[in-house]
Amino acid sequence: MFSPLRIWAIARNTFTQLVRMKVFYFMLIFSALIIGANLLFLSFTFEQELKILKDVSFGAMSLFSSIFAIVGTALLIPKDIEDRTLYTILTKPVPRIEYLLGKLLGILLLIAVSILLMSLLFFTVLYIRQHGILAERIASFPRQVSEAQIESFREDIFSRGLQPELLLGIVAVFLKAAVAAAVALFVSTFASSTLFTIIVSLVVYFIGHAQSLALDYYFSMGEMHSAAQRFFAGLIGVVFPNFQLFNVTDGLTSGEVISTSLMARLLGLTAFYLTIYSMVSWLVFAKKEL
Amino acid sequence: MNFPLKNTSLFSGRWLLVCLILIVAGSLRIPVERDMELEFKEQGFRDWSPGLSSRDQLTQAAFVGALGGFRSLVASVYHLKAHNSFVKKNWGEVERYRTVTASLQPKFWSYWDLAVWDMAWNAFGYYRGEAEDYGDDFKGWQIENIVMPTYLQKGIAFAKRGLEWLPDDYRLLKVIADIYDQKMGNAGKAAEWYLKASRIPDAPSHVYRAYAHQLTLCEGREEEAYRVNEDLYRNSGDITLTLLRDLERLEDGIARRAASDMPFDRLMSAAQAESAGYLEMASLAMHLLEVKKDLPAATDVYEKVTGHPRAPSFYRRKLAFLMVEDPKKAVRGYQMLKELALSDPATLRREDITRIGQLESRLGIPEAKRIKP
Repeated sequence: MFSPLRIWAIARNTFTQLVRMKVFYFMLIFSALIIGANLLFLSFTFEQELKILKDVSFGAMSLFSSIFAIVGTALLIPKDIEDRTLYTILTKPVPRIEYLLGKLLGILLLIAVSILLMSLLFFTVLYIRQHGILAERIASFPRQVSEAQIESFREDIFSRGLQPELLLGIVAVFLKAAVAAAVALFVSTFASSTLFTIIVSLVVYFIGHAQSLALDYYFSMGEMHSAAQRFFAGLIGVVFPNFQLFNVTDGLTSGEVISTSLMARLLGLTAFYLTIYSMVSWLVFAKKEL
Repeated sequence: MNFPLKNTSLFSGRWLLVCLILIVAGSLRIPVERDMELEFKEQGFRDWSPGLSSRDQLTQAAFVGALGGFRSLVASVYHLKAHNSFVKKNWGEVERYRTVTASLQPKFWSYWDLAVWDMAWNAFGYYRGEAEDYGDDFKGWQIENIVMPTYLQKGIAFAKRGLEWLPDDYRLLKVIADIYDQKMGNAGKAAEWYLKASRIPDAPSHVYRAYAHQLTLCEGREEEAYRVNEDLYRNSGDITLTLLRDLERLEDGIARRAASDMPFDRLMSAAQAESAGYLEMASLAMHLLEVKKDLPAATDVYEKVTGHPRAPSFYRRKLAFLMVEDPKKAVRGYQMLKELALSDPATLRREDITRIGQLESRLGIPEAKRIKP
């Protein structure tokens, strides 16, 4: 009988297991990066300064969450085998699919908490900086500043600072990491070592970013491509997940606004990826001799 | 941490099923992803596509980074590199890095603006200094006539490329106008680009005023310039000093042309007509002043001009200075200047302060009662 409670119990344990690996020390590096980006580039215009801060933050978030997703997931099953935890769990009436889903949920929980912590720090620094910039601008104004001018400055600066759209960027970072974790989980079900899982998942991750190029190639009907070339490009498109689709932060930092319908479809697509990769992971893991 | 896997032959039925699921799922999601990609493109999220030219411009790591979802970050890194090159005054490098930065995020207007600024202001200014150092040398001539204009063209080219991505950005249109105005002294072109910029809905009012000002500098377009400036004066509700000076210059030109081209009788009848405007009167006054050299008569007509409800305030200044030339009206003229200094100081010019000082000495105005600049 399928039990969400059992999945949740495994997820909680996985989360605790990963936290005990002291992964949250990464926050020190993240803090240093954010504060460094905030302090080092004060000589630029406020627009550039805020953009650099956002770029560094989103870049670090994307990097850390993807590393967590791939490395953290790659460690899960081997660690359970090493600790013999896997045997303890599977000797109980726990279906293997629940074990896999619990593990995936655990790593997603860890990624979510990490992204939440990073976002809090990012938003705090951005909030402080945009207020600092406003104060500096008012102070540097040669004449007495009227209320209307202050309002205009505020609108100008804040529209490039802490905006609700940034939350969508953070959600997209999480969704990408979730798909990367699902891919790593699938790879780890047939991998011969942790290193193998990490390397293969990273390769898939990078090919996934160039996947849209393959699709462009495949769909460019007007151009002369050989059948073999088009087949190969199509195969890459079909087999590898399209990670490029989750890159919305580049547009968000240059002021674009993503529609909610597109965001909803991105969520749906992530759910689809997670379902498919969980299914194939289970197919491989179900009959695996441990 | 090895965990060898047995019975995972790629040819087992389970693996075939896995492949089948991946292929079917892939085939199902590709059309959806394709639609999403197109929508992302429409919403401005896919403004960079990696190609051979970008591979040439970026280092390998930067190319992989840009491809791997860190395009915005790579653009920021190149922006910092461009800034470092700017500090070192290596303009070739600045141009290359600015090209990379702007092409990585072409929808971020600031990157185009910075590129224009670096080329048309910073590099141009740097080479102007170099040219001055060379003095009359051929090298100096070469820098001034070949290198410096090239950087202005590079600046304009950057702005125009930016406009391909941001056609509704008044700032890029304005920066081209700024180059024509401040660097090339081409008022006609500057007016053309300021006008384009002012037509963008979110362009601030000063852009249109800049267009109006540039028009006043275009020879042969005085009528058009007057129409635009007068409209601004009457309807904008924001009368700046530049607008006032431009209008004064244009109206002076109109009056002077009429005064020299038209016979006195016609000027007289035009000024005395029922529907006569203050400009007709000003033309007559100008004729009296410059052709007939009749100061008292000109002063009388200018008094009528200042009494006209539509006449701008600068006619009062003109009248006041004419009156002080006439010993009989000098005191009244001085009083008028004093009133102007209190009620509308913007009407007076910097050079007027010296003239007023001399007048006060001539009239023996005590120090305490003099006009304070």
